[in-house]
Amino acid sequence: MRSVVRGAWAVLLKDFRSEFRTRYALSAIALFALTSIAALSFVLRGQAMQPEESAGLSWIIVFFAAVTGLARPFVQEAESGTELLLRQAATSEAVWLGKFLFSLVLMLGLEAIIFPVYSALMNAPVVRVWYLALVAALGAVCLSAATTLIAALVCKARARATVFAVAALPVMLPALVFLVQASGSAFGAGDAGGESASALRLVVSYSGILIVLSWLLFPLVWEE
Amino acid sequence: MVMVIIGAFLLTPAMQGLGEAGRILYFHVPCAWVSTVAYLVAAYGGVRYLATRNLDFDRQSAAAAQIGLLFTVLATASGAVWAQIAWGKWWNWDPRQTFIAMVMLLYGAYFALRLSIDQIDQRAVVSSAYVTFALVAAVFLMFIAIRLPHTSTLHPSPVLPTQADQDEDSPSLKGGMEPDMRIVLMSSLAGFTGLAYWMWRVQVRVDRLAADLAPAQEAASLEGATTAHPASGADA
Amino acid sequence: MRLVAEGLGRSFGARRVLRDVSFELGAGEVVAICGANGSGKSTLIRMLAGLLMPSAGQTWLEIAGRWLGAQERRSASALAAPGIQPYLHLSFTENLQFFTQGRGQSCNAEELAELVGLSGRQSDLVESYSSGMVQRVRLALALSAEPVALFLDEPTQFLDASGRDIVAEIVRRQRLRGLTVIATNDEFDASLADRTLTLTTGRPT
Repeated sequence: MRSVVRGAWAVLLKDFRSEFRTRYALSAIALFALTSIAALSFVLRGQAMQPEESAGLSWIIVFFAAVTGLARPFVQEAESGTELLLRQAATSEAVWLGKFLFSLVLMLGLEAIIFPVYSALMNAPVVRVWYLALVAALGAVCLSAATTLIAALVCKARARATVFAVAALPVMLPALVFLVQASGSAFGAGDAGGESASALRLVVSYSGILIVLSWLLFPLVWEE
Repeated sequence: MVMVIIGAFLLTPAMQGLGEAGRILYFHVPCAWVSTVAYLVAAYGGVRYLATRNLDFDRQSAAAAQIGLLFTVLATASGAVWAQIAWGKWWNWDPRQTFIAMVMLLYGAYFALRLSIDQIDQRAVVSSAYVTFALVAAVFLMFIAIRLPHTSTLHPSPVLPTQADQDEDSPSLKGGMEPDMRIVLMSSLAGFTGLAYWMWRVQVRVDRLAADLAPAQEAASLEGATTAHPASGADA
Repeated sequence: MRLVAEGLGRSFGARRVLRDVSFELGAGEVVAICGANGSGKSTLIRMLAGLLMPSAGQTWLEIAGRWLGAQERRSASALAAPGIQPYLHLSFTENLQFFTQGRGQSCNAEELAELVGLSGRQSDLVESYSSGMVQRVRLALALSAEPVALFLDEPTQFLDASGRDIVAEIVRRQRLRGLTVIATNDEFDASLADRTLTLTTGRPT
């Protein structure tokens, strides 16, 4: 286990170094997200929305931003021919963990940009800020878990970016439904019958299942 | 097996007068059942492929996923017809309808992924992993998420139709099932399962034959594989 | 210490690129694998380095009377090949740090830079290197792991005369530490080896 953590740390550090030098991934998805929010606010012109609608639209932006950016950690390796170096440098478990954590940090950074900007531009005040932060953090875990394996899968495909979107979205959709339900009350919706709590439980259990499954399947896909 | 299919199809129309609009039950429920079983078989084949790297399991898995998707579409279509009759709308965002749409997307994506990979064994690895992932997502949706207290569904519990919740809106199921209805439903289930099994067998055989042909063509164009020829005293 | 291959074969989909390769290699030995383009040299050396699963036959690495498991085997081996790129947005030193840190080792980047003739450039991003310099990075990466079994695919590709001397020096040092496999069609590379294994297309001769 210690060797997995050590290897994952090496992978994570390496990815951060490259990312800070190029800012490929973060700048691309952050700009994508900001552009979508801007487009939405032009269309809606600050009309007041129901809390549930606010929650739904904000998560949809997070989802599509994730789909544009989260294939990057793996597809980058395949495109620049560094896969075999990575395979020699770390065990498959370490690679999975390192890439999962990298996606997670990317997602958290992305959400930290999206939700405040969204709330300000879309005239959608957040009533329970810390609760929204909790839901967003759990959502980031869930989305990273779903995309890490799929990103490794699409490395072997043609037209990787398109196929990634097609393959990742259906796996992420259940999470979208639960996350929207869970975060409605953060935007001020009434919470009848503990709906948020049970939706949040579903997010947690879905993430748990995805993490375990992707952890088990990844070595079988990564080794050739 | 053919007898079962013919029997089910002949028997079912004979009993239709009983259930008014609910007659579609004899098609809707078996379709949902067959697609569930097919997805299980697909994931089983995927796991077996990943464990053994025997391409035959990948063929079985892909054929099962194909049949699963076909019957999911049929179940959705027959469900929509039923919904129109019972609830007055083709589509009314009943949780089960929402989730089955997601399941269709999942397996649609599976085939998109398959088509985007040329090399046979890489395609097999990728689709085996994805089909396993998809099953877990589908099971989570259809059997766990659906049981939440606030996701009120108009569908009766799918596990045992005989003990179905009494439901105001589906008259065919009011007061549980008549014994003869149950017989028809059971034989229809058996018939559909048999039909799906037969379709699956045919598909797997076709794929197997195609795979057997491919290396033969390859060999005709290529002289053969490389072999080692030890020189300068290698102890081969 | 022994590296053994028995009936090794590999197919990619329906295409079979290699079949029935058997040989054995002991401590201090150097073997060259030769063969025409597309004869499967790179496939074979990847399987020997434990980075590609054989579809037929088996290969083992034995150290001190013990057969290594897949994980141990990989940490005892290192492969430098044209298809393995260093990270372009990292420097020489950072590439080495990542590689050895991931494997749970440490390395002296200074010393290795000197050995492969890149001293003075080790803090520059690999992005700015020429193809000959990138080849030197590949060699340094493989050496930084201090492998018992060293695998070199086309080691002198892109290299000038001084680069060739470096490869010769690397192979000389590796004789003391373990065994070496070189996949090549280059006469100079092959001359570094004690013996040659030739891959021929077609049926066994």
